[in-house]
Amino acid sequence: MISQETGWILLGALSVLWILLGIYWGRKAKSMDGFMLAGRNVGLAFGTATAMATWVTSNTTMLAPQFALELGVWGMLAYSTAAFGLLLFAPLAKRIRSLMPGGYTSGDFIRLRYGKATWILFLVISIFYGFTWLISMGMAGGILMNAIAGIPYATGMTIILAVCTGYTLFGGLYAVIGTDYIQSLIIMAGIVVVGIAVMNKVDLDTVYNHLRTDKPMLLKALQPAAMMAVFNNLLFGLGEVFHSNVWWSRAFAMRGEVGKKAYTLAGFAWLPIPVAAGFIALTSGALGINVTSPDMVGPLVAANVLGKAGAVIVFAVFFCSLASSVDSLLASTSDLITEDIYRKMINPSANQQQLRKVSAGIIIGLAVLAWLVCLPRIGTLATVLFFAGPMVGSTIWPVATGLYWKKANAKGAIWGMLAGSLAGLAAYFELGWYTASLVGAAVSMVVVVAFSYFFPDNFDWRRLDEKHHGDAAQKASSHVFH
Amino acid sequence: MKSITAMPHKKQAAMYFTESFVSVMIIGALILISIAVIVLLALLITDIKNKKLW
Repeated sequence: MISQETGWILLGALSVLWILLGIYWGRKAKSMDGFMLAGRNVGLAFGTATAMATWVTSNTTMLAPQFALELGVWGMLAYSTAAFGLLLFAPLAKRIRSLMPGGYTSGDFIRLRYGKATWILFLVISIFYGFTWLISMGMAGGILMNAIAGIPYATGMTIILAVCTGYTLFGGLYAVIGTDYIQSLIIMAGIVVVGIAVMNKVDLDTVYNHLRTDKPMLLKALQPAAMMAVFNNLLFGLGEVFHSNVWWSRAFAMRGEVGKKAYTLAGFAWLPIPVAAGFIALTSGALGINVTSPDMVGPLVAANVLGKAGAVIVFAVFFCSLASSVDSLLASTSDLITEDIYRKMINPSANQQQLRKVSAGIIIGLAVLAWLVCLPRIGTLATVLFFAGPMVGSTIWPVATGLYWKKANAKGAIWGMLAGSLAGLAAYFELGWYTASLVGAAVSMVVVVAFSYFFPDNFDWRRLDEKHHGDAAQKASSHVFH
Repeated sequence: MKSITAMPHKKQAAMYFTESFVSVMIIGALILISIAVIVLLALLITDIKNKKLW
């Protein structure tokens, strides 16, 4: 679509930009609160953009078109329902910030709310999910660079992982959130430009009639599998956002009054993106484009209607959607391991310099591990992504009831996550990927509610605020680097 | 069971998303994304003015 030379120039320019911005913003990260949580004072603009950009992953820009091509209009709508993850997390973000003003991770919440056994299971699920997501991003990066610019898969994947690791190391969450703002603007502007260009080239009437004649299935209003995918995707999205430290760290990082507004705005900004991306895919037939690989339909259509400029825009959009998620995953998964495993389990008296070193080591370690797994180019994007679905779906109820319901208890949470994950995985293999999160969340709900009813707890919310309970390690973390 | 083609025309049309529905959805999506870009820029200016960026 574009020459390898142009691809290298684009890749180089964007890489240098992100690293320089990472260094610039990284100067603010003088304490662990700064490095891990951007000083806990992030405003509405950056808060909204970081939530929105992080949720626009390469899966949104590659899988949403694939959904549209395979499941039609319902596929676009199904992917859009992932916005409810952000919208419904908005009130939770406010509550998290008020209940845990000194909290660091989602693991902190589970440990304080449900105890050690549930915490360990939660960490296994959360780290597995985070790593799975990271791998799917790394793979997508390599595939895209190869498809758009002819850059070899291994080289493209390595550069993307290396650049994101670089600026996350320099600037922590300051760099992640700052770059997310610019990346969100590039993503949204790019999608609008390609969408409008497509509409100028082929009118909606032609697209509709072409689909009605050639692929009527895609316009069918009653498609049981596709309708199931709507609920599955909604619950998968909810599970992803509710449990993942990617979103919790942002809730801790935003100002108290900002979290709820930022997540709400981000949800509404994200909602139309899969529809626009899906529409671009649905026009491929009317434009006479031969789609050999469904997840590459976006770049193909853009290049067809806008020529080289279209391919350049798509390259930038994909790079930004990848970077905005990879950096967040590296930062938040590293936070989870540093805070929940190293500081809580291995070295509770660790000082700031030690924590920063460990955090940096974990970021590099995660990137290297992801690189090794990505290298052989295993599986498809959907397979990798949806495998984690039932597990994250089973965390929705333990997290939500744990934040609002005093009666929710540890037994319910642990059995809910276990039973939900196992039932969801069984559904994944026996029924199909589009039922896995649905089954995982439903089984977990029944278990959590039943345990809360039969063995009610009476949780004291003040226990979630570790700072007020004189935790020595917590006090140590308020010091700056020396 | 009746096949789709054997059904009366009106019932058959109701089984598919209409052209107007699809058009509104797509144009609406592009308008919403454009508004989101403007809102993000406006929020940035407001946060810079009020010194509430970070």
